[in-house]
Parts: sequence; C-alpha cells; structure tokens
Amino acid sequence: MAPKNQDSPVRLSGKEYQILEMLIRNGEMYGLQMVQESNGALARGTVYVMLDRMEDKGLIESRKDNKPLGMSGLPRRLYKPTGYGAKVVRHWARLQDLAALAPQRV
Amino acid sequence: MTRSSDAPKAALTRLFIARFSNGSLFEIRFDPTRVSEITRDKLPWPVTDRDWGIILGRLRAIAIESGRRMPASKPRKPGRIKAPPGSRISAFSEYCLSQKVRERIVIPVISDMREEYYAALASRRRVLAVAVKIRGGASLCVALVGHYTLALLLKWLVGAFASGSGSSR
Repeated sequence: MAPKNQDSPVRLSGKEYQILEMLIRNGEMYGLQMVQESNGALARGTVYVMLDRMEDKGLIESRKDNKPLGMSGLPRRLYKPTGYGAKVVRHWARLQDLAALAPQRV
Repeated sequence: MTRSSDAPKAALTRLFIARFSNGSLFEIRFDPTRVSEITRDKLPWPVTDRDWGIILGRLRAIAIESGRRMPASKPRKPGRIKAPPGSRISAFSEYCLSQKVRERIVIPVISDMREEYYAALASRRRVLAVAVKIRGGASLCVALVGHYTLALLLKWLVGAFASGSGSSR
C-alpha cells in the first residue's frame, strides 16, 4: 500500500521503530512472532492496532498466508516492510545517532 | 521389546513373545477371546512392574484387535465436537465490524489464539489452552478498544486542527 503522503513528516513511536527494525532484520513475520520476539515490549492486544496504523502510513505491507493443501481455518497475516518503511528506519537511526552526538546543555 | 505372531497350529491360540528387562525371552500362549482372564498372579513366573506393564499393554492391544476390551480399561466418554475458539466472535464480527477491521485486527488475533490453543492442546496442557482462550478474548477486546479510541482521537485532532486553522484566518 502506498503511503498517503510521502512529503508529510512521519511520526514514528518507539514501538513502531522496533517493529520496523524487527521486520527488516527477519523479513516476513506474523504478529504473534513479533510479540514473542519483543520479549514483552509488544502486547498481543496492541500489536495489530499498531500494525494497522503502520500499514495506513505505508511503512509496512501485509498479505494473507497461503495455507498448505488440506489445512483449513482462518488465514494468518504476514507482514513485511515496504521500501518507504526501510528508508524511514534508516533516516530515523541516523537522526538518533546525530542526537546522541549533539552537545548537551548543563 | 515385544513381538507377537499367530501360532500356526491352533487357530485360537496366540503366541506372544516378550523380551523382558533382564534380557530373557518368555512365551505366552493364550486364547484371544479370554484375554481379560489373564492376571499377574496367574503367570507362572514372577514379573517386575515394568514387564507386567509391557505384557498388559500388548494384551490390551490384542484384545482390542480381536474385538474385546479388557475390563481394566475405563469406558471412554463419547467425544464432543466443539467449534474452534473464536468462531462465534468471528461470525458476529461480520455483522457489526467493517471488512478492514475484521481483516486487519479480528482475524489475525483469532488465528493467533487458535495457533497457541492447538499447540497447548497438542502438548496436553489443557489449563494452558483455557488460559490462551481467555487471553485471546482479552487481547481482542484491548485491540478493538485501542483501534476505535485511536480512530476517535485522530478524528477529533483533525477536527480541532481544521477548526483552529479556520478561525485563524
């Protein structure tokens, strides 16, 4: 899904940054996998709301998981970062590095 | 380790050869229609608990093969067919929630809950399975409340900014 407006500034929360970083590191992931890998930083209840918002922002994209033949049930959803999401993470990390280097007021 | 074979001479007599824990081999000849009559004290030699367990297991298997049940085995309760967890919520959400919310929030939460639920059942942890169901329901409530609260908040913020910029002109 294309972002609504790429020129407008993107707000990225700490958890959104963590999700994006995790997706870039591991490729496609399920929501539950992200919850398990975050070691308690992400909750089962809030992760999908966050993923939904991120999809609206164009940072990630999702698809239904293809079930193997003979398996039934509800399809699971796989998430992966978009090119725009990867770009945002790169810039965000660079900004954080610059912020760490900046002189602090005493 | 045990193995059994049909005796060639007598049709009713089954031969059961057991290798016991001390390495020795024993032969048990018996009538498969009277398997339930074999008890530990009727064996001509003393057997350890482990070996009796092996014999009993094999005898039960043969009894079931020949259409009879050992009286020691408890009669099983008839199985109950249950709908998978979350199926009612999923069906109900079709009527009251939008397709987008259903696809992006309700179905992923339910499918995750099912994944964990069946994994718990497969490892015979029924208490954990019940806990997973409760946690799944709570997660769905939190997700829906979070989604709609956020949507309302965003709508309100957009409205506030729009009215603010309108009044400044």
